[in-house]
Amino acid sequence: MSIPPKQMPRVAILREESVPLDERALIARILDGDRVAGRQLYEAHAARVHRLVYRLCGDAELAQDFTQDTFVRAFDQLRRFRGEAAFGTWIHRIAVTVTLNGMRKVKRIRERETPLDDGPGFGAVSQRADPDLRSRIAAAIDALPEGSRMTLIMHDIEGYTHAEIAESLGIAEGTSKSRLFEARGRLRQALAAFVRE
Amino acid sequence: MTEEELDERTREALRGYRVPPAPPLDAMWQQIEDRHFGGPVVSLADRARSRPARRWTFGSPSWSVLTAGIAAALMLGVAIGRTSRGIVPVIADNGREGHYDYWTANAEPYRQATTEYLGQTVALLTALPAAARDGQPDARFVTQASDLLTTTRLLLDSPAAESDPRLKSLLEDLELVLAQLSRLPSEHGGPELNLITQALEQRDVVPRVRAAAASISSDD
Repeated sequence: MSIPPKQMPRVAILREESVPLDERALIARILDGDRVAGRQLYEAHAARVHRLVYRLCGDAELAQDFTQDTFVRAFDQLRRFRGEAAFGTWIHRIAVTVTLNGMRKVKRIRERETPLDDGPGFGAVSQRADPDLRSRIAAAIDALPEGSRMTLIMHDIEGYTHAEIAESLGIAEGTSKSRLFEARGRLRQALAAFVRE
Repeated sequence: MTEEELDERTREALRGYRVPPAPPLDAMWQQIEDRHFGGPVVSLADRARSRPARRWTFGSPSWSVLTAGIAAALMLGVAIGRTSRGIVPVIADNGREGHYDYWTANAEPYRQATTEYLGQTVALLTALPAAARDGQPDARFVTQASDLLTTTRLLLDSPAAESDPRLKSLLEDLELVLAQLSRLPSEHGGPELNLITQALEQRDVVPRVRAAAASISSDD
């Protein structure tokens, strides 16, 4: 089988960055201890950060913890934010770091993962997919090398661009593309049996 | 299964990979706010009735407040402690709506302290709408609120509050309001001040404080 790049799913997501928001002013206020400004900045980015973190860790409680840790760390380190990149990119980079470090500490995560058939949030669309296929795909994604798995999730599931992935993961865009190519190749191998059936 | 069918089902399956639940935004923010900003600004409406009963125990928040309080608050605490042993709170229905009738003859230290405290609190709270209109709280508000918060907690821990649900309820409301005021940021506190003012109006806090002060001071 083949999964052409343009046909790979790009889940539509709301770009919080598109919301008019004077983030520089908010950041200045947060640095002065203004919690209302902190809440505003949090509201602008929390949903997307949480979504990505959950996709990466697959555990609701961990996703909540990692999202909280992400924002606490971001606020604590806000003086280091120079504005060279968008705040959204910066905090996603923190989110990825926090999540990876957290998952390494919590090694039991993969054993604790809820079976996909019983997983939260499965809607009518996903239910149409063959359960065996979904399980096979989930297992194939979980078995990917860390970098490739993150790139696949961010690009093909969450809809990040290679530029955004490169910024968030601290890699070159070319590396992001090659990791995605590798991830898709492994998925094709894992699903080859379905074509033959 | 053809490759086209497999592609379509693969896309559906990928969309269903670890579908995130709705993010618990408020719960997460409470933790973030507590860890970074040093404790949430409590919501008067949400927490007004959730305060657990207090006890005089070492290590409890009330004891910490007492030991760290200002000298005046310490004096009040000592006065309360010295007189509390002989007080037997009396809760009697004398037919007067809203009358704070537990003030027995031997509770004079409570009466004086509470009357003075309620008067100061009314003065502070009635000045809030003007401060909110100005868009920035006066630094004196924060200091006064902090001082009054200490006194509120002392009174909440006293037998007088334990013996009368209405006074306790009022003090709990005031504690929440004063806690919010004492945590107002030095700048850009206008929006929070507006919220506090709205909460005060919704719960009729100022009229209740005035009624309590009038009832207590007239019960000689």
